Order: sequence, then structure tokens, then C-alpha cells
Amino acid sequence: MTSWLRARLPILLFMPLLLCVAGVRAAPAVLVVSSEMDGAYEQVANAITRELQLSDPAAAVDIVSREAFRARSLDGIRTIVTIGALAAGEVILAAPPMPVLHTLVPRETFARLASSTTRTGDSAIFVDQPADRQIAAIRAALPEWQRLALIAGPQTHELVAHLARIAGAEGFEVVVREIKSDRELFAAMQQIMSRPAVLLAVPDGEIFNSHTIQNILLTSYRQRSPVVGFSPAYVRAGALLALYATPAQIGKQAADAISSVLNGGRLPPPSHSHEYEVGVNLTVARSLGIHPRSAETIKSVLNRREIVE
Amino acid sequence: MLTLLGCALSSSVPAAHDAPSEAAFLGELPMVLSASRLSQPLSEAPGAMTVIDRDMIRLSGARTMADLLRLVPGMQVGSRSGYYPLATYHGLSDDTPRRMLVRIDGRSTYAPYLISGTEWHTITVDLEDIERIEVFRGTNASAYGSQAFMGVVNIVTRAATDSPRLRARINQGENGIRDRNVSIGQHFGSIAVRLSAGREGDSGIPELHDSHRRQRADFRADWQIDHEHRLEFHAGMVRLKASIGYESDYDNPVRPLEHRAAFGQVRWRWQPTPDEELNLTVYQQETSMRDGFRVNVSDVVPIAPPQWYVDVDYDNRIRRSDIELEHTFSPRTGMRMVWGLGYRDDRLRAHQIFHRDLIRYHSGRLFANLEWRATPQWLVNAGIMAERGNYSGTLLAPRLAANYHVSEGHTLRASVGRAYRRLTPFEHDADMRFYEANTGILLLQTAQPSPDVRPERITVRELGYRAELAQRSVSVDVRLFEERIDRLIRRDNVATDPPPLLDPRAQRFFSDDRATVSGVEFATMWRPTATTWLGVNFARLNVGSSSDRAERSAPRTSASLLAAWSPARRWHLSLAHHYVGTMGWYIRESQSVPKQRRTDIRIARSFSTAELRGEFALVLANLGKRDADFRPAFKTPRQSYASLSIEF
Repeated sequence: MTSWLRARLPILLFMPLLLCVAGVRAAPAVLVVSSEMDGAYEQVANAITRELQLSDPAAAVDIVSREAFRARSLDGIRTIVTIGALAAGEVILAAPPMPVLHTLVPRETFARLASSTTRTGDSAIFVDQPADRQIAAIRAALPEWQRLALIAGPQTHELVAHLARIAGAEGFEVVVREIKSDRELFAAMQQIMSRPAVLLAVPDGEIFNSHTIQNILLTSYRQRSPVVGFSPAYVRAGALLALYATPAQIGKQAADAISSVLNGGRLPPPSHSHEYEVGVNLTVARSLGIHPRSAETIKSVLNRREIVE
Repeated sequence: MLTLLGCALSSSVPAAHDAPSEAAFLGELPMVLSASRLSQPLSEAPGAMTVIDRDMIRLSGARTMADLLRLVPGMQVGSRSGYYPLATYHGLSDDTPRRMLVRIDGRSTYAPYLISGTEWHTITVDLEDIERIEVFRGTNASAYGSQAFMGVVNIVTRAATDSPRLRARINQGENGIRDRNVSIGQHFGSIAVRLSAGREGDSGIPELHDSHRRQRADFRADWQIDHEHRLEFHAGMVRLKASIGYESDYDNPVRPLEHRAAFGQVRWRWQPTPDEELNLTVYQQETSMRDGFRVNVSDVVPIAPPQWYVDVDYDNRIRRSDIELEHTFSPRTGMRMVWGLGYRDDRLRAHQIFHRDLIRYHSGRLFANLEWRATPQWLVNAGIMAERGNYSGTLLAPRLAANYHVSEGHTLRASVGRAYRRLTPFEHDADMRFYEANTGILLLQTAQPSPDVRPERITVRELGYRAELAQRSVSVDVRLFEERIDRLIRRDNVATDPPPLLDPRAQRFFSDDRATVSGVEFATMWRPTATTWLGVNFARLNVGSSSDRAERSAPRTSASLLAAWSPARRWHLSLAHHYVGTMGWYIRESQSVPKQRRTDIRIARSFSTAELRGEFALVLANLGKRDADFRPAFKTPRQSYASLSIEF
């Protein structure tokens, strides 16, 4: 008996600890629901895991696809993070009792999702950049340019109106064309770019997509006019400038927000990413004969401005 | 059941379909303005360049591509006939200029067929579908091969995605001008297509029988396979029906001529990164000409038996196949390398010209150019082309150029280069014999083979200065040059064997002339907006040569004044005045063209509705006194016309 006990004592002593560890693994505190499991989505998820491990080593993260989420038990989950609009829609529909942080969603999409429920306490980190930051970036990068062109599609007339208001207040001469489909794009571009202007692209898949981007960039280029985009792909394609948050930056900000929930606090209010990148295509700038300020200068101007505000 | 439930769930997800998704922020896009697609900043080009962009094309009122080349300093433009323009850079040209290369989207239009050069009327693209024309003034054989011996004209057409859904244009005017052009553009998912077609023509030069009608069709499809791969397909065809010959010439009588040309081209582009691009271009083109007539020998030689005649048969058919691979990449920061290889095969069937059924003219090429941004001030370009083929063996064309940015907006450049011009089949193998049809007697031989002729060699030294000031609205470009051509080919009539009955001599080519073209070109333009400008071009040329024809082949002085502005909303005015000093198209002094002046004015009013844009224009071409631009007796007609164009 004694020998039996002696042999098993370590196990008995460590049993509660083992149970505890197993318990944590079985019911992680944070559930990440992702619209897709690769690319930028995966990078956001990885950044959340990585950052949480640094700030909150005890917190466990489980990453599931939105399909797997439907069958997933929520026992022990203290907060849910969604990545992408589809995951956000899925989770809102399930109406979980814990606070949800939506990441990588456009601001407008989050607004519509939020208005469709009575939930409170949820939050978001938007994929897009705030309108005033974008306008300020154009001002900082291209101080000599006064004319700003915007094309609004069916998904984006509110956003474009918002951008136009802010640009107008910043002293830009704003020209706006509203179109219903990409069939009207050629004519709209001819008209709006009849004089050189900075064309600010908006995330309207109907108007600005991989099929229409040629027309947009070539027409602007011909008018010796720069295009300002909203993703690194735009800068590669030929836009002069783009402001965007990287998946790692969004993931890090999400991890910070989750930490506060795990420590008994609440999610911070919905916001754009605090950190972001400024991409500048110097080849295009040189060919256009434009000398934009460097990405670092633009960022420091924007940072100063945001601190003042 | 589960699937149904899944569908029900997704459809009730509040993220409605019309709300923007994050996909737009995350998706890849094709590289549109890649380094190879962008026009190189002129301050960084390894030589002097003139760029004629779309606004300049439209506002010039030009009806032909060759007309546009009047805007290039140092270029001479004439008309052998109403449909056969001639364009040469720095003279040295007879009635078939062949020392300059014209390319359209990478496709050479150089026809090394009969006497060679560019047959402008076989170009199928509409002027309105041209994105820009880049003229490199000076030899550019290191980049484009030996046919770019004294210059190259690169025509870049608009992408198919960049076309209106419908465009129509009508020109109607004096001297029989009647042009009808229509173009449609459509998208099918990731494929964009453009089809344009037209009928064009006029009555030509009043002193000649050269009225002509041209029908053309041009097709382009761009398929963006994914963000890295792209396939472009071009095809076109043209049919020219013209009148040719002189009333008084029994051996070149007035007669109809028909010329057809067609091509197909496929280009695959792969752009894995902004700095790297791989292009594979394959094309085939075919031209055919029908031109035959009978000469009664007694009309030319009264003592000949009346039943003697000669059937002249200039019919020909030429097929070209070409393949080229070009790779652009950045071996390290500050360096850009373009290298590639290609092969071309021309098959010529023109029995009357070569006294043979088939001539093959083929060559392979290997080229490389390294652009090295040594410091922010210094840019060095080193390039070489090796060409190997029949007729000329291996030819090497190296070039070294350096650009020094003195200060913001001011660049000095210097370059040295050497190139060879590959012999054309005509120069080496022309053998034009005319036999009497009944007896088989050789009556006349107008050209005999020239086995000893060798490729011409050019050595170029130049200095340049380019300024771009006031946010690039003011530009100044100066080119100081010396172009030394050794073994300049000349023609002479010498004895032939066996001696023909009527004349024992036949034309033959010799490589024993030389010429040095030196001078200065100056171009300045103030262009505050895309459609407002005031510009002056000036060229001073001096040709020193062992041949007096070469010495007279370029004007001492030529100058242009160019202006365009918008006096009121929707109104556009443009004006071009050109002066060209006395010159001859490689001909005896009595046939030199006296100094010429030409004024073109265009007045246009644009209009638009929500859907439709249009313009009505009046082009007053060659106003004032009529001057000649090819032979003193052929005066360029006034060709004013009205134009209406609409697009949506």
C-alpha cells in the first residue's frame, strides 16, 4: 500500500495542476472566429496569439473558422474576436453572451451590423483608415495639389460624401461623380479627370476592382494626376500613395483590447487602427514628375496632428 | 438539410451584400503602372526623346501618323504620293527612307522588302487609339536592333480596358477627304476588347494620279488572368486601293494598285514584383501587293517591232514571323536590367524584284541594357545588341550614356554609341529584269545584285541638356550631335552581264560613300495644362559627305511653332507652323525642294451630356501658299476638313 502510494504520490499531488492545465486547454478564454483561415486573416489571428502571449501568458486562444463556430461550445469563453465581415455577421447572429471584438471590418459594414442588433459592449477595429487621416495624408504628401476627385459607387455614396465634406473643410476643391456601375466608369473618369486632380480611391468593389484599376490608373496617369489608394496592392499597381493598416497592426491592437477584457475591464470603443503604414510608389512619382514627401515625413506630420487633436 | 440551414443562416447574416466587404482592402491588383509601362522620365533617357501624347495627337488635327512626326525636331516629312508619306530623321534618304525604325506595341513595321522602310499605310491602328508616340532621336540600335540606325518611333496603343463603349468619327473635307471611323469597347469579366474599323481616303496630290481609299480594322483584347499574368492579343488588317504612276511614263503608267496587310500578335506579360517583368511576344504579319501592267515596247522605243511587249508584274507576298522574350529586373538596389532575345524570319516572294521565287531574310538578336543609378545625381546606361543573320553576319551595337542631374530640374547627358545597319535583301540581291514576252529577249535590267555591298556603320557622339521647370510646365531640350556614317550606301548605274538590249547598265549598290551629320536641335515648350501649350522646335543640320546628294538631303534649318489653348469654355484652338529649308530626297540639285512653310490650324468645340461626349472640329490644313515637300512640281494640297466625333 505504502509503496503503491509512494509510487503514485507525485501524480496525485500534481493532479489538480494537470486538471487545471487541461481545463484551460479545453475552454480557452478567447475565441477567434475568422472569415477565412489564410492570408491576411491568418496574419491577424497569429498577431493576436503572439501579442497575447506576451501581455497575458495565461490566456489561451482558440482560432476557428466561421463554419466551425456554428458547432462550437462557448463554455469558458470570455471574449470573442471576429476577423472579417462574414465572421462578424455569423457571430452577431449567434448572439453570444460575452463581448465581441470585430476586426478587419470596414467601418460602414460594422455600423450596419451594429444597427441590426440591440447588443451593447461589442467593439471593432476597422480595416479602413479614418477619412480625416486620409485627407490629412494627401495634404501632407502633396501640399501643392488643390483639386481632389472622388467617384462614388452604389456602396460608397455616404463614405464619399463624408470624405468630400472633410476635404472641403481642409480647403480642397472637391469634384464628385456618382455612378451606378463600372460601365459608367470610363465616362466618369474622362469627365472628372478633365483637369489634373488627386483621385482618392474608395473601397467600392463595384467601381474599384482588379478589372477597372487599369482604366483608373491609366486615365489619371495621362492627366499627370496621382491616385491615392487604400491598400499596399494599390501602391504596387501604380497609385502614388496609400494609407493602410497591416494585419499585424490590427492584430496587436486587438490583443491590447482583449487584454483589458481578460483583466476585468471592457472593450474600448470601436476605432480605426491606431498604427498604420504609408506606402509611396517612388517610380510612379518620378514618372509623374511629382516629389511627394517621404513616408516617414507624412507619418510624423499625421502623428503630430492626431496628438494635437 | 444542413446545407439548407447553412444557406438560410448566411442569407440572414446582417452583413448585407451591399455593405462593403474587407476584400477590397486585402485583394491583389495587377501592376498597371510598372516601370516598363511608364514613360521614362525624359531626364533619365539615354538620349533625346520627343513624346507626342494623346492630347497632342488630337489637337494637332493630323490625319496620318507621318503628319505627327512634323512635331519632332530634326525630322523631315514628305509625300511621295498622297498615300505614301516619307519620314526621315536627319535626311540621307531617297524616296524610301530606311534608316529609322517604327514600332507599334513592340511590333516592327519596318518592311525590308522591296526598297524598304516603313509603309505607313499598312498601319491598322486608329490615331485615337494611340496612347503616345515616343520618338528617340538618334541611333537606338543597342535597344531595338540595326533598323533603329538613326532613330526609332515607338507607338504605344491604348489598353483595351481604356476604351469607350462606342466612338465614332467622321472627317469630310476638301481634296476628297472622306474618313469614317468607328470603335467599340466591351468587357467580359477579366477580358476587355476593342474593335475599331474605318474607311479613309482622299484625292492625293493634284499633280499626281494618286487618289486612294483605305479600309482598316484593328482588334485588341487584354486578358488579366490574375494580378501577375496578363495576355494581350492584337490583330489587324488593312486594304489599300490606290492609283499609281504618271501619265507620261510608259514604263510607269497610271494604274490601280492594291495592297493588303494583316497581322496577329500575342503578348504574355508576367509581373511577379514591381521591379520584375517578363514579356513574351509572338507575331506574324503578311502583306501582299497586286501591281501589274503591260508596256508596249514600241511606245518606249519607236523602232521596236509593234507586237513586242513586256508584262511587268510587281505582285509580291511577304510573311514575317517574330518571337521575342524580354526580361526586366533589378539585380540590386539602384540598378535595372533589361535583357532579351528574339528571332525573326521574313519570307519574300517578289519575282520581278529578285528574279527568284523566294528570298529568306532572318536574324537572331540578343540584347541587354543596364541602368545604374550610381548616385542621386548620376545615372548610367550601358547597352549592347548583338544581331546575327544572313546578309550581314554578326553586328554589335554598343552604347554608353550618362545623365547628370545638376540640380532640381536640370540634367546634362552625354552618350557615345556605334551601330550597323543590316543590309536589306534589295540592297544585296535586287535583280530586276524585263524580258520581251514573245521572244524572251532581255530588254532592260533596272537593278542588279550587289554582292560587295556592306552594312553601313554609324558612330554617334552627343551631348544633351534637359530642363524641366516650374513643376514641369516648362521644358527645354537641347541635343548637340555628330553622327558619322561610314560605308554609306549609294546607287549607281553600271554595266551588267549579260547586257540588256536597250541599256547595258543596271543600278547597283556601293558602300563607298560617307557622311557626317552634325548640328543642334532645340525644343522648348510651356505646357501649363495638358491641352494648353506654346512650343518652339529648332534644328540646324549640316551634312558633310562625299556625295552631293547626301549633302543636300537635309535642310540646314528647320523650325516649328506650336500652340494650343482654350479661349473659352469648351473651345479649343491649336496652331502649328513649320518651316523647312531647302532639301532634296537624295536627288539631283534641280529636283531639290525649295524651302517650305506649312500652317495648320484647328478650331474645336466640345460638348457633353451625362452619357455622351463629343467634339466638332474644323481643321485648316496647309493654309496659305502651297509648297512642295517631295519634288518641286508636286505641291502639297490644301486639306481642310471638318470633323465630328462622339463617344460614350
